[in-house]
Amino acid sequence: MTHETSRRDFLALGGGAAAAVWLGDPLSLSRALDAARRVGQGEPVQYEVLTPEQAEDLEAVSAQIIPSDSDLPGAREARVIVFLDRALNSHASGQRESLLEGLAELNTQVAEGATGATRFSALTNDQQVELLQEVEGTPFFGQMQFLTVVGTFAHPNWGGNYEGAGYRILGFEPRFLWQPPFGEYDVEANR
Amino acid sequence: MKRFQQGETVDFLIVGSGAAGGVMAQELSQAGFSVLVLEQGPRLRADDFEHDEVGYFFQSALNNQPRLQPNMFRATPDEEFRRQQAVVYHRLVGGGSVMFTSNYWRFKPIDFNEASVMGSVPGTGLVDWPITYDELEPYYTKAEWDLGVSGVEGPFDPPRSRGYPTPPLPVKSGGVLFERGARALGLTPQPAPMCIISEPYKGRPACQHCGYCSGFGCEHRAKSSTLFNTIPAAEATGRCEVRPGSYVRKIEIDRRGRTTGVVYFDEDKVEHFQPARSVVLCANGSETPRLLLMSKSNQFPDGLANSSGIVGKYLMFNGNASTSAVFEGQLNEWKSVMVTRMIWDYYDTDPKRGFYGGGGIDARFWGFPLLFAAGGLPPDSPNWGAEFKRLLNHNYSRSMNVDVHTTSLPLEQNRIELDPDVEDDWGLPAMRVTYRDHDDDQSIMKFFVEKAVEIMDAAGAVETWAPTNMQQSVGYHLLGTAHMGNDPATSVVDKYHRTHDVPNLFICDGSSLVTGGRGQPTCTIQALAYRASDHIAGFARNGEI
Repeated sequence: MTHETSRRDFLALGGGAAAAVWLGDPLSLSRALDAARRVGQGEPVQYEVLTPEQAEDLEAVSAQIIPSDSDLPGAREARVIVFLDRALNSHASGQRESLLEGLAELNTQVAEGATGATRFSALTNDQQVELLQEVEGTPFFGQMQFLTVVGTFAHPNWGGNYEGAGYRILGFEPRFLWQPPFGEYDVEANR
Repeated sequence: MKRFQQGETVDFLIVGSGAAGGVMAQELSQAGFSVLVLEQGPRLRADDFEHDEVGYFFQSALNNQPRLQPNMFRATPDEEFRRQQAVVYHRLVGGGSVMFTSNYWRFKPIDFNEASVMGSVPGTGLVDWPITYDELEPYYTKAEWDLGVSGVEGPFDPPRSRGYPTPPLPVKSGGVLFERGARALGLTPQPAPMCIISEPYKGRPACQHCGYCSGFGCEHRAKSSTLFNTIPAAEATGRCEVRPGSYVRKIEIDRRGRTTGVVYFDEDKVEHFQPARSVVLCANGSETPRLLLMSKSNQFPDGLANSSGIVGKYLMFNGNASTSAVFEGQLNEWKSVMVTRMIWDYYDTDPKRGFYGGGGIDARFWGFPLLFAAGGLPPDSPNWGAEFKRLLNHNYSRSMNVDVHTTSLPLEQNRIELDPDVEDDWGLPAMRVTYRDHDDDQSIMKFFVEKAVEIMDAAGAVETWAPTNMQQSVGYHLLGTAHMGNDPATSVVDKYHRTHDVPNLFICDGSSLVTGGRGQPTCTIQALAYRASDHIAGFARNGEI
């Protein structure tokens, strides 16, 4: 989405291209919930749509979109890839083909390059960044940016934002019960 | 709880259970009449509500779903219609009153007679209302005290016969900064009136400041929706049933030109005829005209109650634009209600500006986590990589918005119609919408956006920015499409909300508004519902329906 889109338009994204994928079947939430619960209980990830190689490559892309660092988690810790796999099998199934085609094209670019690698996840960090800068304007990158953001910051029920990783990035606390003062500037007024 | 037999005739059948329908149900059942409310959406309990942006914002879990109920849209008549969501309304028992931000502005006296005071605007439908502010004032007071509102009288308030039932909600950091900036510019900020209680009221707890008001239901029941308020009160009379999952497709008429009831689909898409002595449409400013237009008959070939030909026309969305700022310290605007401070200094039309219009400005935050990550950073920010993440981390608790809410001139070309080709999931004609702001609407929004940015700059913002495209293309405030008036040739309902054409058909919702005020129409819609029900009950008692 562009920044020129008003927030009210964003709320009405049902008509927008980015959100068209979300208008899926009503069972999607319960399926995502089940998947999240199983992974949360320590079961190894069983991908529903992605091959292990596809999952590694897409996870590497998402980890460049929201990188991990020593202070805060990133897309990897948010388990965006679990969210993504479940989404592609339910409410975002309409995006599956284009996303996997986009990944295949990306890997073709990798293979045609001079690095010797054949897959995105096999590139060094700098090589990954350089390649993503080249493809920043592609529909594939747009899809991955959107899905990574949703997987990181959406309600954990959707399979991502694992253990509130996205909330920690923002400094949001999911307590949902607060009393004033709320921030630095209202301390005096609420004294 | 009352359950009518299938096919049992009721005194009043109300279509829609939202801000107006929920009030109407209470008032008419408490007046002694049998009342059946048909609601498209489901009935939820307080603990059913979730803080789920994907479900509520992307998947339309509780509003009209584009996949099932498509809209066709064009800005102007010379464009082709395209499939695009153009109206958003909530689809559950309690309707928009459950999900709205809860700004609860009264209209002011000038909103009711602006055409005669300021002069008409050529090429528009700007006219006076058939009622005055003074006639509506007792019902504003009734709405505020019956439902439960927080606030305190401010310098630009319209005259009020009684104060607010609960004090203002605690100010947020964004409110404090807004006050600082506004005062520095010589403006007069005041606590925002909100339809959220700041103290326990009528058995409901005070706001717990969870931060999820706009677009979400209140699990604490502190938002004074009709779902937890007038609807249970209506049901407690033993004379009212609310029937969820009921989608009305036609209002039936007999040979005498009186309505006999409605045809609706139940949850299983099975059709039923529900007989009623009177029908009251409270289906919102888009579905009400659509239903009238779908209710064609030999007697009413252009749609029911449409002898004027204006059903669906003069649609108003209100102007809205959101500006943004980042400050040095932590605001944590993601806590508590959306809005705590506002100004009304520029409410009135000022001829010196050279164009019609006025409005209000408030401090708020569109900062639900996903919404912020997807679009809350300054326009020149990266959207991936380490800097993207650093900015999300730094800005989230330091950001706020200042929103402007402005006039929409009623234009005949802005309208709701039936699409001749596209159907919804029930096989009914899809809604099609034509909407483009009047040039003056754009001018007043631009004026207000500049003021909003000045306020944040004066408050010491590190960075401010404003939208560049303010043309309204999605309506949340659905107003004016079956408006009130004394002349049957130029209005759909009379000053008591009775349709000019059908004596036992009434309409009270956003469609009834003659002008759109300066945004935040819910308070006025509900005051109208209290007033209309008073009169309608009187007519029924006197055998005048």
